[in-house]
Amino acid sequence: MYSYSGFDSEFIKERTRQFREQVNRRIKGFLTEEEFTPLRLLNGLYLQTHSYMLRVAIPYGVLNSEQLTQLAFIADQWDKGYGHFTTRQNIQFNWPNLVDIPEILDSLAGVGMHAVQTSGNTIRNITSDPFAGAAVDEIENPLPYAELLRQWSTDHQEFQFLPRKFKIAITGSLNDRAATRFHDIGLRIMLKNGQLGFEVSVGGGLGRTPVIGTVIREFLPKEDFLPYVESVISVWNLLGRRDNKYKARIKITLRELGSKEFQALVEKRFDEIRNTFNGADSKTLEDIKLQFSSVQLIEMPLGNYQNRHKENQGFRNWVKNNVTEHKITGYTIVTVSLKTHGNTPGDATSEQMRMVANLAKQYSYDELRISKEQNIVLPHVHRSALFDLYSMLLKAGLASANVGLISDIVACPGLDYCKLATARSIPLAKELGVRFRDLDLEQKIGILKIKISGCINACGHHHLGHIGILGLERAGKESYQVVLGGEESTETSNIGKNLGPGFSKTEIVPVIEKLVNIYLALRLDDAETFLETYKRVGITPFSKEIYQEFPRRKKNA
Amino acid sequence: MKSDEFGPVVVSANDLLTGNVIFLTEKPDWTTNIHEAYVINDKAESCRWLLEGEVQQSLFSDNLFSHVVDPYLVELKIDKEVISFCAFKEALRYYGPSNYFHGKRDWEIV
Repeated sequence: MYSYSGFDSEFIKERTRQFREQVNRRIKGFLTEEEFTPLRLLNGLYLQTHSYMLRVAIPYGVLNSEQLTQLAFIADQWDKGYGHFTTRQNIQFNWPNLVDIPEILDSLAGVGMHAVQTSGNTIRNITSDPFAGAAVDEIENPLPYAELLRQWSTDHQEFQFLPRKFKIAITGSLNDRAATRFHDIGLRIMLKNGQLGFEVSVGGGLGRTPVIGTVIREFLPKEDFLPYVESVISVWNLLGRRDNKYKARIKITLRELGSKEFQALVEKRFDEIRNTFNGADSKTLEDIKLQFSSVQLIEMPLGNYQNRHKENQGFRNWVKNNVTEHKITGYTIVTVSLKTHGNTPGDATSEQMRMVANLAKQYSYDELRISKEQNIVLPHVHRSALFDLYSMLLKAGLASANVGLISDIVACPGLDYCKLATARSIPLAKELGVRFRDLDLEQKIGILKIKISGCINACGHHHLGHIGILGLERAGKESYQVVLGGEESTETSNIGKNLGPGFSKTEIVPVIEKLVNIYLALRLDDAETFLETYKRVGITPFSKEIYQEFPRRKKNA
Repeated sequence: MKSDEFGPVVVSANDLLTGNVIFLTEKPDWTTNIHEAYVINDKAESCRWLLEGEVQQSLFSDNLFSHVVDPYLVELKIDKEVISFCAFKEALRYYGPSNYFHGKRDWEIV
């Protein structure tokens, strides 16, 4: 993985020094809150419902053990002993004090981390496939390109005051685990006639107006990668609305202007700037690639794996759900579930972080990823080590064999923490996890992704859930809408369809249970997943039965 | 609120240093305890007190400038001296998150 250069370290050091001064000036009253807000946002600091929240960047979700250990230290030293991993592969600390932020940023800088541009109207953290560099279906590792984007976008002179936030995702696999079509720019590595390049989609997004991105370049040669991305943002920077922040995202610009017109402007801009990229970006990319190719996976015998697998039911379940095949024979990709039944999705205590950091060092070539499903991935674990790894995770309460299952719930912080939220998402996620554990149906149900958002901003990605839940407020009370059939893989991207009128807090868990029972009754066989059944039968069988059992009161005429 | 009714309301804000939820008292000073907040029942008075919140200086320490961030009015229900919040969000804001007890206050709302 990438290690900070001298330039990177000096940049972060200077940035932290600047922000320390800005914090001091704010505390002493030399900056008003209005003046300070854009400055703190550029450094990832929010003022939330109860306290400040610091969002630390985990570039494209990749960490080493030293970095995760430092995050654990920060959690203990300046927070309440835990951190929250997000759907954008970052980590959030919910309880820092303002005066401690400069110390926290110094502490991060010491391990090559920062909170730059995790908020504000800038290019945010580049997200990618958590299985990158290890996936069987990978064409090329996207991480060097993600790192190039990170370097290019950090403190970019033209793009520090964009009309709105800007999100880029990149994948190198046929199976798009980065949901690229739901980002402002989505980049898919492609191979065409033996040549490497990118499919570029633009204007995807979730939030109050979910949109699947439009492909504006079916094949972009890899040497044009950076100038083309810059062209897209450069064009939008001039056109994006600044009079209304709810209509400022690039997806709205595309809709208002027309995708063909937008594409023409991008191509024009690309022609203008292409030659100004004099190859320095390609040279930088090659240097970055060397850092990502330095891991040499050692061949080893399988050891006692087969016997352990045969003898131990719990281990078998865990391997079945949490372990994925690696492109190198003998190796595996392990997903450590942070979705222990009844716990807050994505939260990890400092003790758990330290534990997983040690496991990564011991078993995964000192590398971890944070997935947008809010789990931790160990990308290079030899099969012979799986049982030892599983045993240690079991002792730490991190061996839930539920990756991709109904209790592997994605949830935003919701009204419990977020100023923008309209309903709580965490208690619902916890209750659903416990409910389906108690019903002992998870393995029988199979793959079923529930995603919960606490407001229409959709940080829980509910539009992409096989069952998505949106929390709203109605007459001062929490109310939950359900969408079905969301899907985020590139070939079959789909935005979930609204089931119908919403449900109260006391109704929503029984409603979800009922939806599952309807699926189990309708499915052709055990192999047909919830999503496959939904696609086959449509929404009507579900909505009909649900609203028969949970009739909605009609409004007075 | 209906136009012919007003209050009770209090002025609330966040503390600059901790982000904690604070309420304006009659002194005027700031407190984290809703029971010490100055309750206002008149619309014109609420504007005056909100303005007071906006210009407040020197909150918890004489050596520091304003600790107040973004004051605004919060509606309450008071029934036989029992105070509750009209908006669920405000209750959550006061009592703390429902997933962990972080030592703010006992979580009372299910």
